Formats: sequence, structure tokens, C-alpha cells
Amino acid sequence: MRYFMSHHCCCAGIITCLLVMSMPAVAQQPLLPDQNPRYQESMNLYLISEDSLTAQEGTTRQQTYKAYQFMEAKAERREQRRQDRRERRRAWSWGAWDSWSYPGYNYGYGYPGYSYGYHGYRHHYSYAPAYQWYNLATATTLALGTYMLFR
Amino acid sequence: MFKINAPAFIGILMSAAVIQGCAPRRVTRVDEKQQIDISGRWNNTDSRLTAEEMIGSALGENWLSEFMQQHGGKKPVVIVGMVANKSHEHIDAETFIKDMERSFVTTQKVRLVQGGSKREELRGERADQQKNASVSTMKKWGLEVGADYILQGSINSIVDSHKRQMVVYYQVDLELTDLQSNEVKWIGNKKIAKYVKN
Repeated sequence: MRYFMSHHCCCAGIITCLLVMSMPAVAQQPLLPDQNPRYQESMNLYLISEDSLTAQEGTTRQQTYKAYQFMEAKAERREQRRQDRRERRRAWSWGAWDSWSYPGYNYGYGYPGYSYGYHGYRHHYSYAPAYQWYNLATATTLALGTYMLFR
Repeated sequence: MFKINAPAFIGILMSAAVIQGCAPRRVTRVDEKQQIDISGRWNNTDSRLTAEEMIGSALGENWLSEFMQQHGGKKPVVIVGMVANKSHEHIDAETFIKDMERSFVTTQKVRLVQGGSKREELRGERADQQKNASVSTMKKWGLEVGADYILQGSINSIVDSHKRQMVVYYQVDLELTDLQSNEVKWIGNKKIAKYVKN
């Protein structure tokens, strides 16, 4: 009995010792010469975000900026002017329709005849602007027609 | 005096438009080393010149021989990190970085390990093998090769333009840093300047 007890105690002691010894082995390895004793604080910090820190390896991060290039800036200004002009014409055409208000004229979704009382939001829809390339084509055709008629 | 045959005139215009519309696109294969500059932006020639410069510098400078001396002839292991494009154009560094990687592997002077998304895929495959591959062929965890150096870089540009003239300057910098000590062991750079006249 005494032998069994002592044997049992011995086994339990060895297992406890192994467990106790293995835990610090995992958590705290012996320091190498000149190694910072607080290296684990930093290690734990980076181990948490390890995946996100390495996700961009082998990639190119695009942090581009817009450089001033004279010709491009000029082209952009021209395009902006065109857009502004288009917007002004569109606004003018709607304004004209508002004042003239053709009740029977149906355009797109039934504007502007349908537009009474809906001035607040009707411009939110995108309708064909009053002056487009085909207006120029129409004008040209009319001019040519007139020319052919009276030549 | 002034007489235009309008139908004929319209006919000519329309046929010109039709001919223009039907004009076939012509594509010609060219040599990859042929220098063709169209817009003045970053192109394949710039990428190739950068790769050539970097490869020559990386494999020819002292860091390599120093490492081998210090480690008993062992070749350094490199992992490719991130390259930041801080220029004014969209530039993908992979075109010249891949050329560098290829030179590392083919010359067998530098060992290369995978990083980023490809490494994630590798680990995913290894994880899959733990459940599906036979025990004898299953690859084990924890036996990856740790890199000695990380390759990182940046691309910068300066643009000076007035009216129809423009000077664009690109500077590509690549650095090899010791992963143990954070010491920068090699810096390679390629500077490209272009004069563009519109």
C-alpha cells in the first residue's frame, strides 16, 4: 500500500512538474544573448494583427496623386465649359417651357403638360435636353432643303 | 457662280462616314524590347529598364557575398513585400518585381519564399491536405523557410508641365531589409526622365 501510494505520488509529481515546466517553455523562452527581455510585449501585439500586416505583401499600393498637366487641364476646362453650356441650355429650355407651358405637348414622361404643380422635383428626372446634336442635324437638313427648294 | 449639287455633297459625306466606320483596325506584333512611346506615360519600356537595372544591382552588390560569407555559403532567403506607388499614374510594380523574382530563381543566387495572398493559398492547401491527403504525402506544418530579407519599395514621380511641353521624372526605389535587425542591406533605384512635347 505504501509502495502504491509512493508510486502514485511520484507519477503525479512528474506530470505536474512536466506541465509546469512546459508552460513557461511555451510562454517564455530563455533569452538569447543581448535579447530584449520585454520582447514578448511586442510579439504579442503583432501576433494579433499578423494576417492584416502581411496581406499586402507582393502587391502595389496605389497612392497616386493628380499632377498638373497643362494640356490635360486645358482639355478638362474645355469639357467643363461644354457641360456648363449644356446645363444652361437645358435650364433655359425648361424655363421657356415653364413660361410658355404647352399643355398638350407630350415629351418623355408627359412633360411639360403634366408638370403643373410638380415644379419642385421634376428636374430631378433626366430628360433629353432641348439642344442636342440632332438639333444641329435638323437645322442643317432644313437649310439644305431650303437651299434645294429655292436654288 | 456658286453651285453645289446638294445630293451629291450629302452622298460624299455619308460615304466618307461609312468608309471611316468600316476601316479595319490594324494590329502588329512587335518585339517586347522595342521602344514605342505613344503618350509619354509609364510603359513596358520603363518597366523593362527598371527590371534590368534592379536585377543587375541586386545580384551584383556586396550584400549577397557578405551574407554568404557570414553564413557559411548559405544563400539568403528573400520575401517580396509591398511596393507603394506614390506617382501620378497607375503603375503596377509586379511587372518588374516578377522579372527580379525570376532572376533570383534562375540564377540560384537568392532563395525566394512566397508571401501575401499566395502564401495564404499555400497554407489553405496544406490545411486541406491534413484531412484529405494520404499520411505519407501530407505536408507538415511549421516547416516553412523563414526569410532573411524583405524586399520593399516605392515609386515616386515629379511632373513639370507648361503649355505643350512636359517633363516627367520617375524614381523607383527598392530596398532589402534584414528581418532580424531591420538593417537596410541594399537599395536599388532607377531614375527615368521623359521630355514630352505635344
